[in-house]
Amino acid sequence: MSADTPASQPELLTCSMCGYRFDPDENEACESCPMHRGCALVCCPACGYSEVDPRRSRLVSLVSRLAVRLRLFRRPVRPSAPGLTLADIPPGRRACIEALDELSAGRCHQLQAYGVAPGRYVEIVQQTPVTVIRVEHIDLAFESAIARGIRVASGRQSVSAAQQ
Amino acid sequence: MWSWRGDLTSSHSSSILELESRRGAVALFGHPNVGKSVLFQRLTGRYVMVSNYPGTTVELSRGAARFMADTAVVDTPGIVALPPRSEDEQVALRMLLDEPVRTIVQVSDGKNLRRSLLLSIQLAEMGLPMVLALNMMDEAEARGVSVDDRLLAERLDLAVVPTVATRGTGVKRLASAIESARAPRLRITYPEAIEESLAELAARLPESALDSRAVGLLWLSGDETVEAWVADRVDEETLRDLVACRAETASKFSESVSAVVQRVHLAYVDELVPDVVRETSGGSVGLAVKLGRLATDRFWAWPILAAILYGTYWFVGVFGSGYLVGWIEGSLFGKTINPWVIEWVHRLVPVHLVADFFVGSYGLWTMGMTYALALILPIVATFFLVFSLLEDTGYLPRLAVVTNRLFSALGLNGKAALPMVLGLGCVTMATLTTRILENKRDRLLAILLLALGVPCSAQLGIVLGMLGAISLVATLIWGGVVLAVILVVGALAARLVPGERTALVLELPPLRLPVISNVLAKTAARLEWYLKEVVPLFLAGAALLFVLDETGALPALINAFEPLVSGWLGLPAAASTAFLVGFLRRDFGATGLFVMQSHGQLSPQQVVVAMVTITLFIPCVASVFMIARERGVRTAAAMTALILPLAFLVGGAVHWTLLGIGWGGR
Repeated sequence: MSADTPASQPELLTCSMCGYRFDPDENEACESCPMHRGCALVCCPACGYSEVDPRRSRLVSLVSRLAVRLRLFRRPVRPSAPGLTLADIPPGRRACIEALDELSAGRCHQLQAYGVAPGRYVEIVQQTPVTVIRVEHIDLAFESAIARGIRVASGRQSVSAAQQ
Repeated sequence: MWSWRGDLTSSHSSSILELESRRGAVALFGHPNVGKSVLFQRLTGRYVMVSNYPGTTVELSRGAARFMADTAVVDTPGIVALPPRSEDEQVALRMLLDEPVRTIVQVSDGKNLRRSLLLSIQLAEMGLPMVLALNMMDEAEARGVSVDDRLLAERLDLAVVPTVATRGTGVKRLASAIESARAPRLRITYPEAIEESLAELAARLPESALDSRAVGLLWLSGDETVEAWVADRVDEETLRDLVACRAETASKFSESVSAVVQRVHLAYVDELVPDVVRETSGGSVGLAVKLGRLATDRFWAWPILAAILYGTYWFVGVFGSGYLVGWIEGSLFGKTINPWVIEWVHRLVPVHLVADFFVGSYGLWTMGMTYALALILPIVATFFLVFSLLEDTGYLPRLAVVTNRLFSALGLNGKAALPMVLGLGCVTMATLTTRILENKRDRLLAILLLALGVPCSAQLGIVLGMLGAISLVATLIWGGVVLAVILVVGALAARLVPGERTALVLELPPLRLPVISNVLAKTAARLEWYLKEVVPLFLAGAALLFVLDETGALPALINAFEPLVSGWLGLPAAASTAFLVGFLRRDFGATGLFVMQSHGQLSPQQVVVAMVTITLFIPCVASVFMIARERGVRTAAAMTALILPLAFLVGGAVHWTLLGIGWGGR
């Protein structure tokens, strides 16, 4: 995982039996079970149904990683900053930076030194394989994890319209 | 990247250092890739490596000024902002703290004034005489950007000189501005809590040539370089007070002090720029910009990369390694130079043993110099020429973008592609270039991969030449095994080495047409460096083999290595000599194996096994020393202890697998 991803919320499990959403780490009853060490099962606090916690199962996590590698399903998208982020703006549009508060302080400092600072406009050049933006007269490339941590005000204005 | 110091003789170097300590140096600072090294070249007449990508200078380069009497000029690595984020940026800040600086010259990109001014403010606050060089003004004008340099000079209270370093425009004016430079009286007001702390820190921080406000701001921002500098100069109690002051200041803000300071700077620049910069038109998107964008496009990037790889293969592999080596080794050395040298040595030296030392089987000339000049030099020369061309165009940062996903699998980001590609030229140079990576973990991983599996061009040329002579399948087996080892070791190391992967953030300089004189100068400078490093090692290797052979130790060593080389790797016992000199340089070892193959002593299977093993060998003695210098003796020893057994382990595994499937035997 990148150092720049925002602090994520605990990943909740949804019980397949009753639909209750819960944090598997909060199930304190497991601690009293003599076989809990290395156990991948977690019980739903509402109905008691046993669910596999993928994070605890080595086999499941191995298969999931393999599936991600083989692109059997989409890589889970890391949480974005609330609202519109730089990653949401299509290439060729301009956007006004609103905040970089989802990024680490060091990364924020570095980007602001390049001119990616609140109140400034940037042009989105491309989004894949990495995000490339134009700030003043330089192209700056960074990973989409960083783009998702940059909140923007609007991406509706195209570059040609902005120049007019 | 590595900065060229080859032309700086020790007497020249000491006179510059003496000059610097007596009068203080003129230090060039600025963002990466704004032309500091070109300006340094213009000011001193000394050549330093100049490229169209950030990170060309990772160490300080020193020279005597041409237009200013008794003045030393120092070129520093590019710095995006203070506090520094990478080791090369820290080198620049340490220079300000530790060395006597007479004048700061900030080299800025005239068309990107906003970001340049953020650094200008920080440098102006240092309290040293300062000049701002508005460089690349030709590019600024072409994009419709004009700067009112007089008004800017007035507002910042320092001399501002527009320059075009590549053409030498404005350099003399800059030199005279440096002579008369004075410390700017720019004073930025920070929030009250910070101002109070700065006043308190002024009395407690150690004495420095820099203004205590600037040092205090860096201290409050938690800068590691300033922290180490202060810790070396104050007693424990003072250090505790200073740390307490910093913690107290930080507690008064909801965000970091560094963010607060930067916001003040941003506001100052936002107020200043509209007054001094005029943009007459947005400018049209030129061909270079379009091509630059295609080079990172998700579809077009790959055909472009394939075309570049094919062009490089043709020029280095087919032309350099095939045609040039064939002509120089076969005709020039084999039929003309060597017979003539052998004849004259035997005529002039009547003692057979001494004559053999020069022109025998392990002779200094017939082995050491012939390997270096006839087999390796043509390949290295063609590779360095291609590499210099790529550097100058600005393609390499785009390669970092394209390969980012591959490097993420190795726990790195695409920026690691820059030292890796340079490693194809020389692993020692590339080890130094890992400083451009942002944290210790990334640098350690990149150095491990460089030392493990990135062959230098000389070795690559020989390897491809030998494998190409067998079949495409042989090349694919070698490439597949080496790539698999790199991926497995890289992925494992990424999990074992503590710390988190750093996400990619990289400036993409505009694509430019390469300047032929610069390309040729860089190629020549690298070749000179190569000859200085490689020839002594090749001569030492030949001398070592000669002594071992004459004393009868070589057959004993070959016997001692036989279980490993013949039993495990399935190679002829004589291949031990190649691995023995491989400790000095692995391309030397590869050259020995090349000679064995050309004498028909190796089967196709043995060639593949030998090439896999020698590719995964430690690169050379010089690179191990460089690893020890950069990351410490323990790391260098640990890497050597990991790489050597692994090379033999994988080589043996390939041998037994190929034997099992019945591929490539005689």
